[in-house]
Amino acid sequence: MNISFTKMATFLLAFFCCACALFSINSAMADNTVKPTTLADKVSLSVEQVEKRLQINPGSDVSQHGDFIQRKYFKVLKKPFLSSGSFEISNNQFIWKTSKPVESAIIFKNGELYFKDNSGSKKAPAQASTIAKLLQHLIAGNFTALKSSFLFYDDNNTADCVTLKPKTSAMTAFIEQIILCGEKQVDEFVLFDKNMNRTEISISYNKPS
Amino acid sequence: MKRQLGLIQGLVAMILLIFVLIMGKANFQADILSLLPKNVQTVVQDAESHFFDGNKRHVFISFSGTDAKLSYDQFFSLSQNKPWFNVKSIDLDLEKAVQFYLPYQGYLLADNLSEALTSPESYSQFASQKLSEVVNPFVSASIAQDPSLSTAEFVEQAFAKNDGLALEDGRLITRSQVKGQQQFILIFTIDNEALNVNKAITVAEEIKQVMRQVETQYPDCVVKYSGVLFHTAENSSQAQFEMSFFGGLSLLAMLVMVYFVFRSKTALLSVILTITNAVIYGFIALALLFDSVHIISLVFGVTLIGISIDYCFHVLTELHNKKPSLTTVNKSIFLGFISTALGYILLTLAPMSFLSQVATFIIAGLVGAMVCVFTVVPTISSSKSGLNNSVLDKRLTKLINLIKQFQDRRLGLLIVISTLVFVSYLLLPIKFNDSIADLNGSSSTLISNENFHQKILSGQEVKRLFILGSTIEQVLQTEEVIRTRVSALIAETDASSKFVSKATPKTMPKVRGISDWLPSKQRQNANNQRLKLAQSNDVFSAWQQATGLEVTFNAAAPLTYQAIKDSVVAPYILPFLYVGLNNGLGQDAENDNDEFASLLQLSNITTAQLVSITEGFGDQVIPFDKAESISQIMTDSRESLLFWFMLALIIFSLVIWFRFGLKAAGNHSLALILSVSIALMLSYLVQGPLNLFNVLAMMLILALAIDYLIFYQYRGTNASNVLAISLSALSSLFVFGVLVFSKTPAVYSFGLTVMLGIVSIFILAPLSVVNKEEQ
Repeated sequence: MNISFTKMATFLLAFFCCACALFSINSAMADNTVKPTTLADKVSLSVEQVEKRLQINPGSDVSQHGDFIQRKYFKVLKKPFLSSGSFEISNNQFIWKTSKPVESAIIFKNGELYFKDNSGSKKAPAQASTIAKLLQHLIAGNFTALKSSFLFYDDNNTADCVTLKPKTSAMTAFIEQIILCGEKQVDEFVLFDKNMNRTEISISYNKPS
Repeated sequence: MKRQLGLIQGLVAMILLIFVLIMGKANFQADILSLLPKNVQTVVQDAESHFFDGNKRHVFISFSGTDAKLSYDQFFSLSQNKPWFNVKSIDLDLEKAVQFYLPYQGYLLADNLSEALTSPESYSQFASQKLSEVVNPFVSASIAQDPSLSTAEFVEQAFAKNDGLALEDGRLITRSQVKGQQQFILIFTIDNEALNVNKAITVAEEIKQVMRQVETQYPDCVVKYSGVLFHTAENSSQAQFEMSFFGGLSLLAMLVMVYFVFRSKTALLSVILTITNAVIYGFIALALLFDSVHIISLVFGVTLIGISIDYCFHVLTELHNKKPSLTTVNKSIFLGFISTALGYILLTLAPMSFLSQVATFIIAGLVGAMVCVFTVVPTISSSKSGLNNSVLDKRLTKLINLIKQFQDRRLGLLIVISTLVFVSYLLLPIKFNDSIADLNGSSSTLISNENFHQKILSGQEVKRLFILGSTIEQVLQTEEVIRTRVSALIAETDASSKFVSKATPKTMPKVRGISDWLPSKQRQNANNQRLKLAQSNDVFSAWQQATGLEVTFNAAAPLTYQAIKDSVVAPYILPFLYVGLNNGLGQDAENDNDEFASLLQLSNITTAQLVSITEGFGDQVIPFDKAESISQIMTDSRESLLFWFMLALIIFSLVIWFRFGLKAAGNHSLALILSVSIALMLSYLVQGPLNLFNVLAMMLILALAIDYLIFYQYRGTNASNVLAISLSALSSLFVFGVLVFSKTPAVYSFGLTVMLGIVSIFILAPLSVVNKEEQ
């Protein structure tokens, strides 16, 4: 048996992931640290500038569905916490369904907010409404709606990213900064909370059937 | 001499009036809530003021429709610079709240987590789910210091229960749709000054003007307003209108009547002087004795005109006699005053404080009228000639003949009337409705807006409980027992609806109280034991292994009220906790005489469920329903007024018996009972179910009827007496009659019954007179 070092490492990695899943904890290996944007001396962008930068068409159909992978980086955790699931988005509906490591869902339908967890009970957490609407607008690239709560800035590192800085106290209670990246549609965004813990969410869209 | 005395008293009264006005002692208010009866239990009353008085200054504006958000923002920007617009920015400092609770980790345990502590798997599932949430500020702020997530879950649960509204981009919105639409709510606080009578009208109008601007710009938006300010504005402008319109109308009618009867300017002058003197006396007494005068008191006080003019009529008719004898008239006026004053004093037995103001105004006013008719009127209107009014003479003669005919058939008439009254009461038993709405003359729009906002803000089927105790610990423990009972109820409902449909979050019973934020020490110790047991059972081990964090519970002592009362979360607790310290030792040293009361709010609970939940607590738990408790107080007052009416009747009968003999006492009592019974029955037929104010009117009928009876008994059916009593009755009819046009149900009921009572006693009084030879 001739097993290379790389194969061995891959095998060990897969084993480690399974062990973590057993404990209902998913972790990702690496922490490719995304740094928050320094906004000092920057001039904020208009909605049109942001849309141009990301090549997002504001009039495009917002009816979309797809999958997401979420990596949560807490300063105290050595490894990021990984979760994944699917989403559905339309003008009057938004479903954010986490399937791993545990099942839960936030459903925002016709102005009503539902929260489902693994026990099946329904309860909307205090911040759920704000977060649900925020996710809906972020994925849809609806910068007109985001304008009332955020200021937009260009990103230092990449051309197809923008930085969102909350301007209302309701939003600053949860979020310090969001970096949103994409080309024609939103592919990824990183949320920094007040403690500078960050949540990275990667989006993949299903093709319309 | 009399004239000089009269002038001096008039001068003194004028000086006092000017003093009162210059010194600003005359303060008016129209706060409709201040009319409500007060609860007798002091702690409950104090706690009630503590919990709800702040709400008086709140103004609620809601926006719905397609442009709700835009109209909200437009209203906000248009109002921003207005002096009445004070909005507290709603800063949810979740981070600071979490930091406050972190030193007590190990003593705090939310229900969700408690259920998850049964096994390492269920705990890991719970923790994984918490970390899967896109943003959880509670976890983020506490995971480093409390990896068990117990603090995060406790604070999150406390905030989640906070209210039915959510904060979205700094705007308050309803969490669920109301009537198919999302409602945006703007709550702002006005200054206390803005609730003053005239200021309230101006401020309310300015707010409505801004609303109209918004509605013009966004025609699809529906804007609704509510708050005590609008009730005050509507009621005070209504009361001001009614006071000046009714007062003016009845005064005009009376002056026309006086001129028609006496055809002399001096008679007119006498009437005007008497009324003016009465009003000045009444006003001075009110301003000196009360800090602020309720405008509704003055609406009721309009009746002073009708009673004070009676005194003037008796003196004027006597003066126009060929042989005037003012001594008898003065004696009857004085006796009449005593009886009326006693009648009005009885009004003060009712639980509404404004009735003391009405009584003060009338009694002091009648003193003023009496002084004027004893001193000024005889000197300016001393014509000893007849009235020279042939039309009047003819009608008077006819009336006297009619009275005599009635008196001849007295027995038969009294038997027939008594039988009719008795049978009508047997066939049509009177029903009562002691609703709080009788005190409020506000528009139906405002009342429906208020109900709508109440549903949005508090939810459906909201029940409030006052939890009383001599220590905070006792209060908290009682709250927790009630929570346990509600949880059992939820489990029961879930079990019974297993095969039908599960209760939705909207219909699930909920409890909100201070124990959400501050568990009892007993509960905290139990939590500590539970967490330590979980730790020793390795419930956290898998989680620790996966995260590399160490779960420890090393808090020195449980969370106390002393710690929380000055903390960042104090605004969520203190408004719902009343602390009555009777020992003067401060809150750190409670003793047995101290009183604590908390406000526990239960939603989606039926009245029947509430009864079973609060069973066995005795006086420690008091269900609080303002409308119901006021109705109960009104029912009690109505019943006690009936008792006092009977007592007053007995006293009057004894006085008449002593003065005029047994037969007169019997006749007079029968006339009184019949006139009151007729007035109540006719009021019932016209108005429907009666209320406290119809019963209050009964007291006034008694006072006025005694006047008529005494005058008839003293002066008989001579022309001048019959004329004076007829004029009195007519003037009273004008005054009380116009009250039936009032939009305030209480004023309407009062006016209607008094008016009908006056007609009845006017007919019955001559029938009850006993001649001297009969005595």
